[in-house]
Amino acid sequence: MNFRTRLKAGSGLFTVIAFAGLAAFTPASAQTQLTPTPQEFLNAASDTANWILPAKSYTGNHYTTATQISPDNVGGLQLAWKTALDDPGPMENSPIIYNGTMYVTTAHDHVYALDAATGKIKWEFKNSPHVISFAANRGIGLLDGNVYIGTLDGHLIALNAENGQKVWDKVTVDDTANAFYTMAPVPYHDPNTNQDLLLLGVSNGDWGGNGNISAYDPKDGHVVWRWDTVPGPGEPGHDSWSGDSWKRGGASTWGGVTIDSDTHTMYLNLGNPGPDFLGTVREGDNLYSDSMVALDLSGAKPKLKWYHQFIPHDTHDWDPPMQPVLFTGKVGDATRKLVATGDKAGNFWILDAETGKLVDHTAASFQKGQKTPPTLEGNIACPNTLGGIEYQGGSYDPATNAFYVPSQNECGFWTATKDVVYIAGQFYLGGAFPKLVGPNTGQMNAIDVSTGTFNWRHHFSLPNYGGALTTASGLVFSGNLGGVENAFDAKTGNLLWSYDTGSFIQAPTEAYEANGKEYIVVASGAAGNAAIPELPATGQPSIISVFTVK
Amino acid sequence: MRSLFFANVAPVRLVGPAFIVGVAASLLAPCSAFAAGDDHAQALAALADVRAAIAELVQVDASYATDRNVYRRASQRAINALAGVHGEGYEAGPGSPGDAAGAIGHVDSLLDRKETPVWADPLHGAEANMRAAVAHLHDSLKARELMDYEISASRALTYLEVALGRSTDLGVLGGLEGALANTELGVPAGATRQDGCAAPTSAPSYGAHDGYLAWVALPASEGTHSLAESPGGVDISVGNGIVKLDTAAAALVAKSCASHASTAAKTETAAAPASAPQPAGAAAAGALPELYTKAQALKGAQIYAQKCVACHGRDMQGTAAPSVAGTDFLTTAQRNKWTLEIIRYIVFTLMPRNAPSTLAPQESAAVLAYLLASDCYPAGTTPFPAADEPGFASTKLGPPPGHPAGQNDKGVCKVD
Repeated sequence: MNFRTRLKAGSGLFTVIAFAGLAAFTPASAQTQLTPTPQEFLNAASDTANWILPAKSYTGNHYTTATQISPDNVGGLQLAWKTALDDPGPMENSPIIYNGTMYVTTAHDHVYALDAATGKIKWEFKNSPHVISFAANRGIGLLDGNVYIGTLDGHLIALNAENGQKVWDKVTVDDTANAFYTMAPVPYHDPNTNQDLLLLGVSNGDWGGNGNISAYDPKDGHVVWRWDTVPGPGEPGHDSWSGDSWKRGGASTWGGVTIDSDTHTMYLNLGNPGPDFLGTVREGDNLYSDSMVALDLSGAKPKLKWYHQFIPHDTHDWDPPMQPVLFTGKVGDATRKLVATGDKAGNFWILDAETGKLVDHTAASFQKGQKTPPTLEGNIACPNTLGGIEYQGGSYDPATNAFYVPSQNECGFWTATKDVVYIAGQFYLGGAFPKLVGPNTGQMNAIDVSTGTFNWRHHFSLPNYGGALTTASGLVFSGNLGGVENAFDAKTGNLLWSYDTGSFIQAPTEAYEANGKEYIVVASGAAGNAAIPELPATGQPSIISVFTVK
Repeated sequence: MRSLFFANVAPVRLVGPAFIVGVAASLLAPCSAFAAGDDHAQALAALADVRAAIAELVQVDASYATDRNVYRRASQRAINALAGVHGEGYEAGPGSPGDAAGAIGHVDSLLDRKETPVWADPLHGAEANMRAAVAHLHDSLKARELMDYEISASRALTYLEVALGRSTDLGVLGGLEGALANTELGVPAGATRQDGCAAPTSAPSYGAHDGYLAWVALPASEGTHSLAESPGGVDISVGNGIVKLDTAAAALVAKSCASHASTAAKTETAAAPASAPQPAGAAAAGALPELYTKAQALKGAQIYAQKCVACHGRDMQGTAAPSVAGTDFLTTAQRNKWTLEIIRYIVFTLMPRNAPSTLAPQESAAVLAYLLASDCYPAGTTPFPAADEPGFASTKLGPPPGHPAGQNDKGVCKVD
């Protein structure tokens, strides 16, 4: 560096300092706040304008108190705007909407900030990292002025929420050969340590990794704590794995994080055991695979309060991917604190939120051959790995005391192999993913929480992956795989409104407000893993569709 | 390693980074046993230590280990190879891939003299870079996470590559290789040394002048003559039964000679014993095997368009699924040590994902042929077999050498 450039750099530094000093004296209220405060996260459930957590609030309940759009006027719901995004692939994301900006992601970890009122792109971040196996991203976390995304190559990346510029980028998985991220990092303010955290689980279960849920410091991505989902030697539950099988036991954590902020309890569903289809190499119940765990967050590290294993020793990749939904509902005459979820085997479960004890179980999909593990010759079991209840979630409506959740009927022809060998960067299955044998249909279900029986069911000729959004005005929204977004009457199940987005829907629906007007948003794109013979094999564009009543 | 080929005569070998000329067997003395004052052997030993340190870091990176202690052990071993047993930061526990003196110890010994030889600059440069590398390796020992480790280790590697240097550079950036290629440091004890201003009168021999090495001469006999390193120059002249390979210092020496007007060829033979050569490295990457026929690959392209394209994409870079050809796929394959047997298993047994094993074996073989063709493997006369073959387990996949014709910016070769 010569003297001239030295001088220049010095004066630049001065400018920056002077500017920073000025900014410090500007009242915060004069600026548009970029990211929510800890209090706003705690109050997210009743915030009709914003949608700041993947499933609306920490309870995981896709329920909005907004009432502008109602059974009376939903027939007049029209497209407000539609924005095509230039990254083809399955669209599985839950948009995050705050102060008029909508943050969406596409299959290859591109992030787009859109004007929530118009759909105009404010900035975009194009990543396209190496894909280990499935290209999908389910959304971002918004915290401390930044947008956070976990990527397909195991990075946690912070972007400036105002302009999309990268703030930091860190590899946070243990093994980049088999571990990656699809879920949205979940912001959480720990009231005991007064520290902001990003909660993020890892997708690695079908590739020979072991799951964990980790809390990262949003400032630099360093690990604050980590809770491993497969108990190691000496820990309770370790004896549920034969031999060394626990070392590649799976139980990944990709579904979503539910938190009871009153009791500092995290409810988390854990993935299937590995190898997926060959149970003989991992005798035992394989804890905590296919389980819901309740973790006490009040200490320095999470502590297991209880677990409820839905499918001990699963041999069909039937994990419970749906984010647990925490609610207070009526069971018989009693009002109880409950937590509900679904699994890919087609079961809908209601547990007691304090003890994890089973309250009710409803078979929501066509089930067959579930007691027989896959064989060398092959056998049929239903649902297949993409049947049953999927990750997009459901909702509880206090007005009807009903739970709304879609489910799929897909059967598969499964085969196991004689043995299994771990290959870095490849599936660790002990067999093959099932061949589809039909019927590839789905339904929207309204389940009476009091009895566990159906209030109503709406049947579709195609799977219905779009989760369920319930409104306080008495509507249930859900997208069908074929691309049609539907609105039902929550009480009767009558179909009140439909719109064909033109691409395949496997993302949940959300509601928000911009300039005082209520909007409904859903993402659609290619079919990806959900591809079935009934759908055209064409590459559908990635689209964000937003509706409002004019 | 570069090779020159001459037909019909038993090979004469040139081994070692400084072009030690002679018959291979007579030169294979142990590396560590160099006599006092044998600068060449000392420099070679430093080079071996730096290479050992680099190899340690590269190997651990390729290991894909998940245990942080594996990485820390590699960093400490690399530090040991550089610092030597008496150097700062040496820890006896993990051992050393280098010798007791360490690369810095050897360079210190070479520079510890009153005069300033022409190779002092590149060696000073090498030492500064080695010390910087050691500092970054110390940082890597403190890394809590893999990415932090990689940042420090990558910095250390960069400094070590500069310390290693390049044979084309005479100055400070030449490093150890530049000094060995272009200065008297490259002349082994006991080798025939001639005046670099003149043409060689015998071979093998070394042409040195004013401390620089201008050329290396070897007999123009038929057979394979191997150099462990590039001589750094671009001119090769043949005459009087001798092949003369110019070094990068040849032009500088020619200029110096013109001003000296000193052309008397002076032949001298140094008295010190033969020094230590480096063993010849692995052969250059051979041609890729021919594993399929063109017609088969074209058939595979049609099947791909029907059964695979929805998830893996027209450009084979993946839409919902991973890339299956080109740079991203091949570098992943190399990193994860995928063999043809593994890829064959995936295609034949697990794909298509929603309908595995629904393709006939001949169809799966055609798809594999298309994938190999897209990865720039050459077509041959035998189709890719429908049955597995034992050789596939040892056929590793990785990026092709060089830039094959027809490769696009994703590293995919066109199949038509």
